[in-house]
Amino acid sequence: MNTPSNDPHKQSETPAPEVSAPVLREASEPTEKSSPLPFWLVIFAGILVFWGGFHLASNSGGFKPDVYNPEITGAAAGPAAPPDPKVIGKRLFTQNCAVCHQGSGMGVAGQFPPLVASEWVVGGDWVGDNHLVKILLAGMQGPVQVKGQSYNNAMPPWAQLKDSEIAGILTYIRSEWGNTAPAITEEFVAKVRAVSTERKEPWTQKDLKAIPAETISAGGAAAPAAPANPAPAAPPAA
Amino acid sequence: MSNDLSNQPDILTAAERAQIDSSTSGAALLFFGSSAFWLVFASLFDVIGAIQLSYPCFLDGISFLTYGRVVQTATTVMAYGFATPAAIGIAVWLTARLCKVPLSHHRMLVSAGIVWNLGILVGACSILAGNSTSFALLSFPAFATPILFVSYALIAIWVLFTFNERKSGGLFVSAWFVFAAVLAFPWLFGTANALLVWNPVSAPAQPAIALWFSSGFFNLWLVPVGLAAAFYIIPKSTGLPVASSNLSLLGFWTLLLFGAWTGGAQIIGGPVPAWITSAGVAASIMMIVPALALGLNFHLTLDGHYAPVAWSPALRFIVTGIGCLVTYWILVAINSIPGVNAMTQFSDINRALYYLGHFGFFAMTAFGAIYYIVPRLTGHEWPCAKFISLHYWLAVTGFGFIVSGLILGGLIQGSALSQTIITFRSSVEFAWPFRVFAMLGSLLILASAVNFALLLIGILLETHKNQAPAFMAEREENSQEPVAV
Repeated sequence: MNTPSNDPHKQSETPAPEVSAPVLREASEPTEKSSPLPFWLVIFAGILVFWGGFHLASNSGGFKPDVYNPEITGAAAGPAAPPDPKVIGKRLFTQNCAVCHQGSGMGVAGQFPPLVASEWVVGGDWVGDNHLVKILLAGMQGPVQVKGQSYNNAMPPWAQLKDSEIAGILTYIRSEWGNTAPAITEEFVAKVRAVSTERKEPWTQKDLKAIPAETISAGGAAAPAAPANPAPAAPPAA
Repeated sequence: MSNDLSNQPDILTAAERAQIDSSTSGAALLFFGSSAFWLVFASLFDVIGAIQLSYPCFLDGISFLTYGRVVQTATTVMAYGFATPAAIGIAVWLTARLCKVPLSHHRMLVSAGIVWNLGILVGACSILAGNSTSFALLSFPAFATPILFVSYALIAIWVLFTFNERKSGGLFVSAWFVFAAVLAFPWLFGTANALLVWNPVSAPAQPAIALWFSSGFFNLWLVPVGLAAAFYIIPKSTGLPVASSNLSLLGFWTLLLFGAWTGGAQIIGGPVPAWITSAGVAASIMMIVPALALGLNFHLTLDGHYAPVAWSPALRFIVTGIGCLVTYWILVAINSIPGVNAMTQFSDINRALYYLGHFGFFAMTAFGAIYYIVPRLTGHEWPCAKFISLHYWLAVTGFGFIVSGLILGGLIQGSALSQTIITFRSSVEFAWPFRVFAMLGSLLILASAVNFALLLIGILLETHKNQAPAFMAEREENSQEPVAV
C-alpha cells in the first residue's frame, strides 16, 4: 500500500490514495543531460538558414503587397503572354476530334475522312479556308470526296467553342503530320462566323461548293504585322 | 521506483505521484474516453468519404451523407473530437506531474469536458446538416465554436493556474512544450475564427489565414503536446535521461519560430502577395532543423536501449509517432520546393501528408501516452496485451496503406495534371487504383479505432482482473532493461 516515507510533503490535508503498481514501478522524474550540439547539425542548420533567407529575399518581389509574381514586376507587369494556339489546338483536338479523325489524322476508311494532306484542310481545288471554318461551326453530313476517295458519315457542329479555340484546332491540323498551310486566325473565324449565323443544319458538300472560296494567305492575313512594303522606303532611295 | 524514499524536494515519492494523479484522473479519463468515441465516429466518416471518392454512387441520394459533408465531418471531428481532447488530457496530466502539485479545481475541468463534447456534437450535426464553412479544420459554423471556446477557457485557466503553483526547480523540457501549446491554441483558434468565420475579412486574405491556422494547429498545438508526452514518457519509462538539453532547445525554438509559417507553401502561384508563399517555402525548408534536432535527441536518448520498444506499448507507439513526425517534416520541406510543388500541388499528396502528420504522428503518440497514463489513473493494468499489439499493427498498416497509396497515386496524378496533352479526366483515372488502396487503409484505421475504444472500455470497467503489466512481446525475467510499461 503506502510506501514508508518520512517525506514532509506527504503531510497534506487529503490522505494519500492507495499507490497502485503502475505508479510504484515508475522510474524517477526525468532529467536532461547537457551536451553540445553536434557540429554537423550546426553547419547544416546554417546552410538551411542561408538557403531559406536567399529564397525569401529573391522571390518575394521586394515584400510589396501588390506583387503577386516576382518574375513580372513594374513596367513588365501586364497581362500574361497569350498561350500558343497550337498547344490549345492539340489538347482540344485530342479531346474532341481524335475519336473520329484519329490521333494520326488518318481518319477511318469510308467513314471519317483523313486530315493529312487533305484539300479540305490545307486548301486546293475549289475548297477555301472559309469552308473549313464553316464545317467546324455547323458540322457536315452526307457523302464527301477527299483525295479521290468517298466518305459518308456525320460530323457534329462545334459552334459552342470560342473563336480562339476553333482557330487553335485548325492551326494545329494545318501544321501537323506534314501539313504546312498557314495559321487560321481568331479574327478570320469571327468573320466567317458572322456571315454564317443563319446556317443551323450541318453542311453538305453540294451546299459548300455553292459558296465562293476565301483563303487566308500567308501574306494577306498576317498582313497587319507586315506593312513594311517597299513604298515608304522608296523616296529616300530616290 | 528507486527514488521512492528520496528526501530531495524536487523528486516525487510514489505516494505523491499517486496523489497528483488522483487529482487529474477524472478530467483526463473523461477526455481520453470521449476522444476514443469521436475517433471511431471520425474514422467511420473517413471510410465513407474514401469509398465515395472511388465509388461516387455509394450512399447516393442521402443529403447529409454527401461527399463534401462527410469529409468535412471526418477531418473536423478528428481534429476537435479526437486530437484536441486527447491533447488536453495529456496536457492536464503532464502539467500536474511536471509542476509536482495536484491540479486545482479539477471538477471544473470535468464540467468543461462535458461542455466541450456538447460543442463537438452540435458542430458535427451542423456540418452534416450542411452548415459548414469552407475552411479545412475550421468547418464548425459560427454558433458552435463559442461553446468550444468557453470550455477551453475553463480548462486552460486551471492548467495555467497549476503552472503558477508549481514547486521550485528548473522546468523540464516537456513543461515548455505544454505551456507553449496551451497558449498557442486559443491564439490560433480565436484569430482564425474571428477573421474567417465570425467576421470574415476580404476574400483574397482568407486562404493565407486559413493555411496559417491549419499549419499552426498541427505544428504549434498537436506537435508540442505530442512531443511533451514523448519527452516525459520515454525517459520516465526507461529511466534514461534525455540526451541533450541543447538539442531540445534548438528544436523547441525553431518549431515555435517557423511552425505556423509553413502553410504559405501550399498556395505557391495563388492569388496572394509573393512574399507570403516564399516565406512559406523558407519556413518549410527550415522545419528540417527541428526534425533533425528532435529526432536526433530521441535517438541519442534511446541509443543502445531500444529493446523495450518491442514490449512496451507506450514506447512502441511513441517511437513510431516520432519517426512519422521526422518523415512528415522532411516531406513537407521537399514538397514546398517550387519545382516539386509545381507537380504535386493539386494532387493527393497533400492528403497523404495530412494523414502522416495527424494520424502517423499525433494519433500514434497520443495512443502511446494513453497506454502509459491510463493504468496510473485507474490503478490497474491493460486487460489484454494481444489486443494492444493488434491495435498497433492495424493502425500502422492502415496509415501505411493510405500514405503510400496517396503519395504514389499523387505523383502519377500530379505529373498527368502538369502535361497539357493529358486531359483532366485521365489524371483522375490514373489516381483511381491508388485511392482504392488508400480506402483499404481507411478501413484498417476504423478497425484499429474500434479496437482502441474496446481496450479503453475494458480498462475503465475492469473487465479482466489482469495483475501483470501488459507486455506486447516476451520480456526476459532477468533482463537488464527497464520494465518501461
